[in-house]
Amino acid sequence: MIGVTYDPVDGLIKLGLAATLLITVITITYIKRLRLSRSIAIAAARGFLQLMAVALVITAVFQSESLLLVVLILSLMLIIAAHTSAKRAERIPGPFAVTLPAIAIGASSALISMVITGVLPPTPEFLIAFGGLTIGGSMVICSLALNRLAGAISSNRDRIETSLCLGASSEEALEPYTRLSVAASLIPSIDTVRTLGIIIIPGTMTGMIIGGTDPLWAAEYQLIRYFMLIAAGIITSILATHLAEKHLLTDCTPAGSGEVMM
Amino acid sequence: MIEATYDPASGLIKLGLAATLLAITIAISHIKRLRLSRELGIAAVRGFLQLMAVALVITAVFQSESLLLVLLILSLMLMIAAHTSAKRAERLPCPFAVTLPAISIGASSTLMAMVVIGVIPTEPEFVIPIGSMIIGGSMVVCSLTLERLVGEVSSNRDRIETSLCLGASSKEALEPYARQGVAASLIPSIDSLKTLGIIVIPGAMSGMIIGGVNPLWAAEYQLIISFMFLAANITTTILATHLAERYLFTEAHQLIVRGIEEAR
Repeated sequence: MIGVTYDPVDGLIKLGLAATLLITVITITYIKRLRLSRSIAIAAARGFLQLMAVALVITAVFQSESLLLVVLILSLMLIIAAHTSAKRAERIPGPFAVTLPAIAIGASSALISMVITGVLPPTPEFLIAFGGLTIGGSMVICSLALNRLAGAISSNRDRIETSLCLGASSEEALEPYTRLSVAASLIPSIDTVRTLGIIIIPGTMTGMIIGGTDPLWAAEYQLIRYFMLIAAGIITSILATHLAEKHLLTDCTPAGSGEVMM
Repeated sequence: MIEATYDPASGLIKLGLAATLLAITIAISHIKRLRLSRELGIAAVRGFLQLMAVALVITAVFQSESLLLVLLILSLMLMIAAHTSAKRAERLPCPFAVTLPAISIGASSTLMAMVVIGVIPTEPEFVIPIGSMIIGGSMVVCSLTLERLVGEVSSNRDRIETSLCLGASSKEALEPYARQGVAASLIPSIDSLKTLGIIVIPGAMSGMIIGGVNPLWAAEYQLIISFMFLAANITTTILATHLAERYLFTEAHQLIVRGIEEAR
């Protein structure tokens, strides 16, 4: 078990020893002329600084015990996630107006329903950990869905224009492509759940076991986390494609249809 | 914080509620005709059965407190990982003879190094989950390396044959492609280390925080795990390319790759 109170000396020594191991291996890559040593060293330093900063912020939030601060941090995560996802979906006009509501509604509906039903206790420890994971997962799914949608539309532009010409509404014309994008965006998460526990003990479960939690509890919380992730992912993905539809077609509608704006 | 002892009733109710949330969204996906409902349902059930089975085995090992059993489980994981990775590298002759030593030396050297200097306590609670993560990571990297290497070799076959004709040894002829394979397979792990803590609090760290560990400890153990992960990955990928080199050429420095003719 890990000590309950943080001992900076002991912690930094252990971290230093692990870093020494990494440095040894970086030296090997240098000898092998892999031209990777610089990027590995930078990645390690960045990872260290970022994670310690996160830990300090979380510690401060835990000590303040203010729920307002927790909500503030989660909203900040949401905005960063929406921004990151919007950058990936540059081909869609006004991407941030699509990703922010999609991720926010998807992630928060899963999180809030679990807190209300009492599955997750409303303590900062749970809210920040599960909230962060759900928001991060929704972000990835949102990017995948939008990317796929934009790709499908640009490669099937002729067909969509034809359907529009033949009198289909924008929703009808896009339907097969939105359905495909939503399904495609969920496949990686479904695969992860299907192979859960084969060879790799998943991250959250590992962390909980190290933290001294009973493995059965750890397994159940890991499953809860994935069920939430997929639930949030489905909502996010459906919302994102619906919202994107509006930004992809103009609403100049003599017959209820529009033009593709890509 | 979670109660220390497991309460099956409360646990299963909570899980059931989360499953209800999932069922509702699956119903939505069914209404939207996404044709995913069956797959989602099967994945959820499989995930549940597998993870609970793993938890029961781990609980039994923790209670027995026998280090022998821990080693047995880790070796079993190694065998499965090597087998999985070998299946991905089918175009290589004798893939298992490459993946098993590469993954086991890569993963066990880092794990043992950390246990010997005392960074990771020799308790099953630490060794099993961290060991499994490292073995799993090495497996993924090993598959990536071999796939890339065989791909590079088959698309650059003419150049390699030419170098061999001009008197290069098999090692010299393969060197640029081997190096590219190693570098490409390491990019995902380097990227994940670089973006650590941005938006998503990494899995192991959030698990420790939920388990009641001080966030600073949690961050440090996450970093230790990530460093070990990358070190094991690098060792595995270098070993895998070296071993693959032997099987890609005859002793007389002739190139042999199964399946290349069909691929061309």
